[in-house]
Amino acid sequence: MTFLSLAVFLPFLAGLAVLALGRGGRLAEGGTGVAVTVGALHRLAFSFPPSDLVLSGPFGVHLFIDDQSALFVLLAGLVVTAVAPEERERPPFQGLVLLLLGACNAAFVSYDFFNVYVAIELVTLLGFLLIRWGGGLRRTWAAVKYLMTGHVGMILYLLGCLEAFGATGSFSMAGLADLPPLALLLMASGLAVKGGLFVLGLWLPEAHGGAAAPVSALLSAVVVTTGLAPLLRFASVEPRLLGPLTALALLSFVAGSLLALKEDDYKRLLASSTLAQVGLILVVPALGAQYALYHGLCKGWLFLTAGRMPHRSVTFMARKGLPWPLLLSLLGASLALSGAPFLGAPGLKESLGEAMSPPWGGLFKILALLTPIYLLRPLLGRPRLIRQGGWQKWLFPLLLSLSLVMMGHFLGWTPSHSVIPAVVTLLLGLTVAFLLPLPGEGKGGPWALENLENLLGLSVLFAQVLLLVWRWLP
Amino acid sequence: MVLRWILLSVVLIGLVGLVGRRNVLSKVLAMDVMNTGVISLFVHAGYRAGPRAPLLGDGAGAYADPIPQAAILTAIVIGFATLALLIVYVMDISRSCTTLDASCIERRSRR
Repeated sequence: MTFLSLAVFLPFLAGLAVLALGRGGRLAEGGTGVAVTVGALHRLAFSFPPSDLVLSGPFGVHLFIDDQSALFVLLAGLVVTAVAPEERERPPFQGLVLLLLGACNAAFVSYDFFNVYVAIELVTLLGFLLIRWGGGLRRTWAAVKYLMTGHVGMILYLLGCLEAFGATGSFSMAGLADLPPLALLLMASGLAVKGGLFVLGLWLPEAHGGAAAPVSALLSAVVVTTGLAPLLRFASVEPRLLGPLTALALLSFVAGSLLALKEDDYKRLLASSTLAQVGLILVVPALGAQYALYHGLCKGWLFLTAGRMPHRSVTFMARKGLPWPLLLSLLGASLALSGAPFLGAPGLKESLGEAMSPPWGGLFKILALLTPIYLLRPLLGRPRLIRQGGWQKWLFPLLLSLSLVMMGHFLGWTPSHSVIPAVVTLLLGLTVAFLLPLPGEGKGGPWALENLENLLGLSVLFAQVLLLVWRWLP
Repeated sequence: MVLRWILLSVVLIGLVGLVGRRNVLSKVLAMDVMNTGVISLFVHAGYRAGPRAPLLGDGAGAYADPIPQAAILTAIVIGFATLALLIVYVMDISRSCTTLDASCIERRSRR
């Protein structure tokens, strides 16, 4: 119960207090973030047994807290803590971030289809307000697209809920194994829209790339996982979903990587990379929560550093070079995300490849080459020394290296037999990154499929394909 | 059974409006039609056992199932909040763009 009050009630209370008082935003945000992190770490460190709570009667709200939900809560707490000192916005903003933290945590601990729906919709509404924070036509339009696509996805999810209720007589996820395929497919596709899986998740580069840096960090690291966490639960209980999900996840990985390769705007590149990494979170459901934590921390770091950069063009970065502290910060997180040995959690990426069935595992090892190419290409310019600024400018990279070493400790070191393959992959990626021509300044930008008409059309098309699949599924 | 198909077709009509209309405001309203269709489907799902209101002390009889109706109340509120937010910001966009055509706004936002 303490965990629940720390993870869900405290952020809501703090958020409402900040909204009501209109001051003390950053302090409240940092404090709440630390409290949530400590609560989650405490739960993970002492390996509590999973607790199964049904609040207010047999038809009430069903909550389930296990290691998976604790890992996601840890991620949310860490990212919110990291984001707090970077914000330049006025207090109502921090109130919204705190409410977002509470809503995300509520989604992670819910074990009830309808409760998940409510939490995710709350996250979407708050995400909408945060994306358009700061105003401007581009941000507002990206936010409107985000809200409309998300709402259509959630309508699909609700139809699935109804089907599930008709079959089992309750909304609890305990009856997941008895669901008809139609209910499962509808709910899974609704969640895939929120989780940013490819084709359905094309709203993602525009929304995440266009928002302010702290918002992008929150969205890419935490908000996306509110759709993925229930999907991971689905996949772990229901083997029928595993095949289609793996295929969709790998497709998402390839498509996101290719989109990132042609992008010149660094923040859009990072957002496309999220599109790709979302696939890796889903590819092996048993390791999903750990990979989400790992990706969320690296990606949050990259977005926050990107917010400090003077310009966002990848071509410009690669030609003119970056100041040393920024370069080290980006390099550390990029190398960790590409699976370099001794940084972050390379053992995790290795076990991802090993956990997949043979044809997929081999394919995955080849495809893993794509990540270092697009992440390291902007960093190949010759670094610059900057004179202004004291020792504080080194604080950021120092913190990163510390947390990367910590992460390696928690999530598993590289097994010694896989150091050489990892280095070879990295070197190959670097060589390709050197040889590949740069996109050119101002190139890339939104794809034709990313406009509102196509986003909505794609979700409708996806639903139709789904209905066809349902006809032919045993 | 007929009612169920009618309600499903309301959802589909909303879908057609959502995809077919170019005007953003029409799209938003069509989305609300879809939402209303889904909500009515939930209410109808509760109705299956019987038409009577599930009130205590009302005597025995065929009661409607209160759970889907109670649950969908939240979805109504959420749908309302989404609709309100979208309409406000679409108004905001129309003021700075002087158009409601989706592809026109798209082009201007990329400038």
